[in-house]
Amino acid sequence: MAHGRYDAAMLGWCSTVGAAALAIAAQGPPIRVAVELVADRTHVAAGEAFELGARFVIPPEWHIYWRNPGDSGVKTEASIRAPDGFEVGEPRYPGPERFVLPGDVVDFGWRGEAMIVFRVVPPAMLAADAKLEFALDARWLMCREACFLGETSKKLSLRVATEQRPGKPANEKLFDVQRRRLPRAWNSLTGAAHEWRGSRTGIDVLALRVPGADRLDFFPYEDSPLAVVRRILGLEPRAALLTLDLRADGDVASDRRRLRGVLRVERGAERAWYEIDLVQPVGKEKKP
Amino acid sequence: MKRTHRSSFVLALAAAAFGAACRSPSSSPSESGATPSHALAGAGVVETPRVAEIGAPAPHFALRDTDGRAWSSSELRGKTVVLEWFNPGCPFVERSHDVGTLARYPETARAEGVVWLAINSSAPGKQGHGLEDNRKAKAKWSISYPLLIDQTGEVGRRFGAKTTPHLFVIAADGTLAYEGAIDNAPHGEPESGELVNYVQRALGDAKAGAVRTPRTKPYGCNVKYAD
Repeated sequence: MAHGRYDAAMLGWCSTVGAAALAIAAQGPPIRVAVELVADRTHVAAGEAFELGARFVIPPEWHIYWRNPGDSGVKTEASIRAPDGFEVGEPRYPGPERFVLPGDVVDFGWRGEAMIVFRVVPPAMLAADAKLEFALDARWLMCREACFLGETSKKLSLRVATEQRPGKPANEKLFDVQRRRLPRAWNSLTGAAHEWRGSRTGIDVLALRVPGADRLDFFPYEDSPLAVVRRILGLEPRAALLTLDLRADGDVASDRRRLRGVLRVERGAERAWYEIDLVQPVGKEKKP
Repeated sequence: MKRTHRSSFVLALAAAAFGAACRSPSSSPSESGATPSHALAGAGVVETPRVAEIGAPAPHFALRDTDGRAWSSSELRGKTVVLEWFNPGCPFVERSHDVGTLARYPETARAEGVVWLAINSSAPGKQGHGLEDNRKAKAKWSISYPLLIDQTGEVGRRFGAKTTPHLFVIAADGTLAYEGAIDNAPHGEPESGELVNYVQRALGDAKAGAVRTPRTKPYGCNVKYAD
């Protein structure tokens, strides 16, 4: 009987609080992702490459998604519209974090702040002091106990450099911090090694060893032919070892076993991401 | 600004207390609760949880719909069943039911004899929970098929439902024939090429005997399971 009264009381309380939470969800996001388009130069010089950044400032405790969102969500999209003659490179996504949500939902994304970076190459000739208009189109999904889609366009005007105003670096601190989160080349990681440790029914095993690392984590690209089914982190006296069990997904030929993604390397408080693109050599599979 | 932070804190506190208090006292740990966590705490093993497998018997479910009617998978034996994970507050569900594939296709499938059921696994205090809001959403989008309520999330976890929408096709023999996205248009327009309705394709393939693409990557909001 007492139990029944408790249930009834709790039902009433839950309904009230639940209704309040739902009312917030129904009204739309109480807080929003702030987006801006920033450049690493004050002026544009003919033929001299510079960088543009799509900067996302995310409300505390909320997250948005990486290029591979993981189990749920959608990737954050950003594209640049530039004046004729400008070449805009592919978006470079900063390294992600792993969010483990109730229900074993594992998502990849960012909290706090993230910047997608574009390399821009101006044409060889530009009219001095001309005003150049760049635009960012972005869309994202922001999630916590609710999810909200966001979409925006932002503009940025930059002038062409002149002899009197040659321009100088801009937003240096911001670009310095955000560039450190961009994945670097795997072969630039001193002493790092990989080893294919054989195949068994549908599973390939790859070991990644990084001297001096405390922790390693791997984030596959969405289009990686090999998917990660198990990760085992081993700590050696002077290195960290990440062993990945990999399974070919989709219609990939059995002799084309390729893993694409980024490896996060932690040394104390320092974090860096390295781009992995490894193919198991044909005919060199070993029995485990 | 200070006011925003203070109200966020109060909201977070309320949500935490709510989540702890509003779990059903009779709820038992889900099957996935026994699987290893994805979190990589120091050295350790991380495995993909064992959930519904393509070609294997689909997990059992027994739930009530928004009208109070009981539904059980055992009573649906011999029929092709589509399960659609649902959250009326999720913008992807909203778009698809407003103008997308879910606004049109379920009726076509039902006319061909398919049993189509929506399931909502949102926990109390999370987006999409609440009988009245679900009834309203059902009316707003003229959803004529049943909407089952799974607020403990047990059925969702058993199937491994990750997103809303996340679609599962159960073949007439009771095995799981397809799981994944409804289509290739998370934002309304196809990501590349033409619009592909994956569920329609899977149902057609199942009739012919073999589903060519039994799994696609679902998109959408994460299912709002209890913490």
